[in-house]
Amino acid sequence: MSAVVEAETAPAVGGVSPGRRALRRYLSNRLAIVGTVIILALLVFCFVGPLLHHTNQTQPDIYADLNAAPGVDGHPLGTDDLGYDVLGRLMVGGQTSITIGLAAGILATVIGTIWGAVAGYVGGWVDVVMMRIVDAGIAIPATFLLLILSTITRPSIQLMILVLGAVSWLVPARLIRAESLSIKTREYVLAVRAVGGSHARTVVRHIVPNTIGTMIVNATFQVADAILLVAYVSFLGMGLQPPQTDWGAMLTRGITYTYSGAWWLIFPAGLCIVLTVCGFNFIGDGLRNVFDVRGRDL
Amino acid sequence: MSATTPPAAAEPVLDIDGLAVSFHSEGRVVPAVDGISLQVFPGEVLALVGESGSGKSVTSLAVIGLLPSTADVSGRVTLAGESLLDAGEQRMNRLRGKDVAMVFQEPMTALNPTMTVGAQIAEAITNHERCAPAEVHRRVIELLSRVGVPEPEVRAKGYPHELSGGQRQRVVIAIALACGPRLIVADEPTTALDVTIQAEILDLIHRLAASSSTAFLLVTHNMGVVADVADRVAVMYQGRIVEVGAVRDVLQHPTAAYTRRLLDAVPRLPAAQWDVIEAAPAGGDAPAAAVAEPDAGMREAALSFDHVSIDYRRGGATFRAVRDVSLAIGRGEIVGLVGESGSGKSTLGRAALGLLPVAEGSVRLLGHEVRQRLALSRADKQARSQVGVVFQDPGSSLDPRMTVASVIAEPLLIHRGPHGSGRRARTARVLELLDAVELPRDYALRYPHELSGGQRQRVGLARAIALDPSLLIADEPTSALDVSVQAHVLDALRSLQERYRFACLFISHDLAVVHSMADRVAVMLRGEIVEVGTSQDVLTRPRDPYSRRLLAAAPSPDPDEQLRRRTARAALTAPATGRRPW
Repeated sequence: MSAVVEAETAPAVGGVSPGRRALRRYLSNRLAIVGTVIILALLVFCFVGPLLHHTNQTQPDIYADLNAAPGVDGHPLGTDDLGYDVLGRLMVGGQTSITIGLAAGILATVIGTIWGAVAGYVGGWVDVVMMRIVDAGIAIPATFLLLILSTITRPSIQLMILVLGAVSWLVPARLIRAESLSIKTREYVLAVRAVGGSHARTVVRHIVPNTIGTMIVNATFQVADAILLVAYVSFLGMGLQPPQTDWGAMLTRGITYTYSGAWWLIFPAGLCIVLTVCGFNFIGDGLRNVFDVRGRDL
Repeated sequence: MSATTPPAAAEPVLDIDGLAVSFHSEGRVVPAVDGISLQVFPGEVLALVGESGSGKSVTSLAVIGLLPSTADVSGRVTLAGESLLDAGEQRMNRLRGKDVAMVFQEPMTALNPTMTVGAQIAEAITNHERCAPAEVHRRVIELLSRVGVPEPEVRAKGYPHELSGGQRQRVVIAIALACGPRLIVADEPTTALDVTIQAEILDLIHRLAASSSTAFLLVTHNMGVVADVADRVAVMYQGRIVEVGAVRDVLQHPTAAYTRRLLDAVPRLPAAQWDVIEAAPAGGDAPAAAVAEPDAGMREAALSFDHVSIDYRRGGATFRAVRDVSLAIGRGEIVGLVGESGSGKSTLGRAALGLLPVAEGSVRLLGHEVRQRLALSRADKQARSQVGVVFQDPGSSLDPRMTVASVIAEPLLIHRGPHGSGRRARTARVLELLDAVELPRDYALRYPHELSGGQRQRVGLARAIALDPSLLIADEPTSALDVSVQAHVLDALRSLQERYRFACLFISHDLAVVHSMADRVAVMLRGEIVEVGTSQDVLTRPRDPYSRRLLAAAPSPDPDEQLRRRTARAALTAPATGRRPW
């Protein structure tokens, strides 16, 4: 009888932890590697760069040439219309863009996950009400809301994060709700309920951790979206107040001088935005691969 | 059926010679079939049996050329003189459906829900032949009546969802038969069906094979199915064929050690007393008497249902899933609950766990009323700590993101009882439980996907008994497992029950499994209990007509007993009292 046990062999784990395997699968996606490299490079550029390339980005240099071409006077990327060094400005602007994007993306994911998990788990009329609120929110264009807000108040980084987070949690909420609806019928959730586990425990310990795939993948897209949104708003002139800046604001200022051929005012900032958004999207795609296969061979 | 030996003179329809299949994924090569040779002759049913992972389904897919692109195939597969592995995709397409047809496991997904039944059968015909519409229609009706679908004219215009599961599978078989193929490959054709329906489909296959020269390659894991319809059987194990022979020889005198172990692991019912059953008039004893419950045990009961009715509501419509059920389970007693899908047996189990609201009557757990509530009172929680539960699917009953240790420790955390206070006490208890279910202690840090199905179900058992419950509810605990694994899990459950003396409500559709576990058995049909009694009584000489049909339909791995059941089945269904309301 005991020999029959051998017929059923446990999946081989042979020293390779699930984390290792996930990492291997992530790295097997070439675009994911590209995305990771891009984001890491940009982070180094924005946060470490200013230590190597010293510029004054709080007061314009009144002796510098305005709109000087790249290479002139030790400005590798030239200067802008106020005499700021463009390369240095790109780094400082990147700091705000990436900070706002990351923080807003994370905030949106956290709010969305909690909202969606609770709505899906509780169900019934609570779910109906919560999801109608989401529907209503999605019906209001986020850019419009941001523009109104920025005319009323003076935007700061913190405010931008809060507002962006508050308008972009809607999509993750929908995704997580759908996930939560299916997870709550799984037998491991029933098993917790059957031994008298509380609702809070069920949601926190069993439902939310099992949505982690959807959650993380969506978060990367949220970050990319938030960076774009900051750029839109700044581009429309309603962003952060000078001397603070971000990539979107740099574009706005630069666009005035494109006719005089000052390409260095818009190309670098535009390229940074495109690279960041692509980078985060590639990472998201790579992570999706990692989490999708879970059902298949783990 | 008379053909116990293959007609040596006849040319085989299908000749598999040294077939090997392996899959490559992520740089690794996983062998699935390891050089098998097999022949199928005209008009015979050859059963290919084995446990999951033995390579039987891969073999059947190789025959009809539907293996995924990650498969490497070598060897020879010859169908009526033509080599299939050398045939190109176009040639294969012409052969598939015409010379070799396939019947899949799940009839609902094998049929297109947006096409009428008639159109789907017609498609199979017109794919391969030029045929006038009137002629096609005539043949569709003929096929439908041949597979025993009543009112074929009406059904041909209907859609798959308007048919019952058994009728859908008949339609799938009709599609396979459409062009009069030489070989029909049926991959677990009855596994998704209830036993009584399974019996009807097996009868159909039996009839078709006997009345035509079409050969069947029947892939199954169920020895009872083999005994029922197959002429010859090939036993597969780890990609090899370990034994081939006539069914009676293999099942009664297996020569390979693996076949013997496999047959030993299959739970068997004692031979039913068909003479007694057939002598007694159907439903002769008043069913009321059979259902009568010994009232004396009520007070002492671990779990009691008192005139319980349970409703499901969906979109305003109410469906009564359980109707006026009374049943008591004494302390330390194992009560089996059998019935087909939709009979309400799982619903009853979930009501006992307080997961479903009870419309009428009451469920009492050790005298404490169980109700579904939004928040549990202290007394409710106390009562719940007295129940453990084991679910069917070991894949979904464990949280994939928790280690085995935290899965088992969770009930201890919820109820901070004698075992739950302090991390050290909990760890000790977890290790003790792992020992109890005979799992190595170092499995505590593994994740569920790193365990096999049987090991996962043991973890489920350990979690269920973590709080030392007085009642265990086991809802189809082994129906997702292979027979040999099932035998081990049942052994584990039995020894735990002997050690901790908990009462158990054992829900299953498998009569033999229930017989091997339960002291008493209750039979459910459409939300009602039609018969209750000791296992021996109910499962060898049932009184209720439905219980009798259920018993007659349960496949037995013993060919003699199976033959007896087949005749009993014919006798029982002849009066046509038990026809399902299609």
